[in-house]
Amino acid sequence: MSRVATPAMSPGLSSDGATEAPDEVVPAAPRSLRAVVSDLVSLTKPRLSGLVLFTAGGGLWLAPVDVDLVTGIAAVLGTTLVVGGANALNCYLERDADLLMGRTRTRPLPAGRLSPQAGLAFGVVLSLVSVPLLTVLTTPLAGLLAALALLSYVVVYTPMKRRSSVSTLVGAFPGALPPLIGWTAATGSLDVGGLALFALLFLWQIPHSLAIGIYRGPEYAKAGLKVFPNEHGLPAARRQALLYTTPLVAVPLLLVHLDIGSWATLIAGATLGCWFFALALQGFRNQGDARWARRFFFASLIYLTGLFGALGVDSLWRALV
Amino acid sequence: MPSPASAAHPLTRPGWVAFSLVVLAVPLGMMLAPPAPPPLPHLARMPAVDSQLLHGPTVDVQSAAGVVDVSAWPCSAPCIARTGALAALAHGPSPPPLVTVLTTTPDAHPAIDAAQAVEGWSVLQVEDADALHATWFAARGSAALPTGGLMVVDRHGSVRAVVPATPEGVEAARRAWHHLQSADPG
Repeated sequence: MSRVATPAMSPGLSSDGATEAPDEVVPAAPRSLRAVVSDLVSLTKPRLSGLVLFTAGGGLWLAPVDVDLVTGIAAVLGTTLVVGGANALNCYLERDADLLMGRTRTRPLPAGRLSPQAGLAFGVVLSLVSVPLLTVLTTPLAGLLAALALLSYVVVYTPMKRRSSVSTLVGAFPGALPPLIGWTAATGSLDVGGLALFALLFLWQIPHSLAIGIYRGPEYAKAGLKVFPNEHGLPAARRQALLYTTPLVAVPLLLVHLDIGSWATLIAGATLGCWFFALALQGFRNQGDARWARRFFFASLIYLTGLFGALGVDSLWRALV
Repeated sequence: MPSPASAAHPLTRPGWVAFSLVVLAVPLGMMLAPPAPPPLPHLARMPAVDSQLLHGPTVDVQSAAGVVDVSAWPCSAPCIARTGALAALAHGPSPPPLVTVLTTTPDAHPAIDAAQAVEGWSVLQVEDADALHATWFAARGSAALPTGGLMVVDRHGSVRAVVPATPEGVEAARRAWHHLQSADPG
């Protein structure tokens, strides 16, 4: 592998933190626009952003008001940009920690393909465009929630990851806001329906994050990032995962009670919730190892996309019938 | 390279504090700013009737914009009250254009003297009072227009508000006119 010599990569650090010589040092050559754009896009963490957008779109879709095209497009675009901006700023702030983890050391900033200043500027521009866009073209409340999500993610959660595993709870706040941003972009008010979606996402994120913390615990420890399983041990992490998964079984009942979903949501949600709960229980049988944690992580993704998918189809069906 | 765990908190740097304040400024500003008043309704169209501007050319009544008093009857106590309200507007801060539309003979109306003493107060004498009555009452009939007050008319000949000839009405007329100007300054 040939790579460009940059201050960030010289000397390089191996995955175990030891100094290693670069494989091959070649003079810096001008990079194609496509490569730069590709790196800028990767700063926004597109896969993570996709899930966030899915839930934000869900909030927008499930809100009990008709949304005009401009508001809908602005809500989706604004949320995309604010999530992208937050992720780019996270990449900027964690570029040193990213360099210490095998999974993240090839990201544009630790790998030196983009300068830290470029990453910072990109994140700031996305943030400063997205919040006013949401504020003006949807509702000021949606803009305010987006600003709170952005700031709590970037200037509270991100630095807190280095200090305490409580950051998982703090990070669940911005992570749970996208559906509420979508909801308030449509309604302009904090309604119990939007807050229920927020609560669902908040609860869901704890087992989701704990699973990541378990199977990537050694990496995080190497990078100096505090996660619950490393600080309190696997048994405690398994108990916490079960604790936060339990109420998710009952969430479909709440959604039906609030008329956000109907019997279809109830059946799909209860099935997914029971399955997710059963997987959380399996963690005790398997001693909460990395393999279980990885399965539990993917199950959390299936639970969320399945539940929001069911809500969306249910809502569409009720609108048509 | 510094240890990741020892990195300084972003909020210890002025740039991040400024960034946080700027991000919050727009939504908080819009939420805390007083809400814009709702647009004024279109109550009726001013009648399209020829009139004579006092000592001036022929103009269409529909082109009268500002605070308008139509004296479609011989001047009596209500008429004098409305003229007084227009005079109060004329001598208040940032007065709107004032228009008195007469169907009586010019020399019989108290607005004439007041208008001649104040810049921006026009007096229109309708040549065909019957036509004015007919079109005016027809317009009112379809719009449940309040009567007996001063009308706030936009630049397109649409009646947007009717206010009483009282001190409160004078203030309401001034606000309504300036609201129209901010919404449609053209």
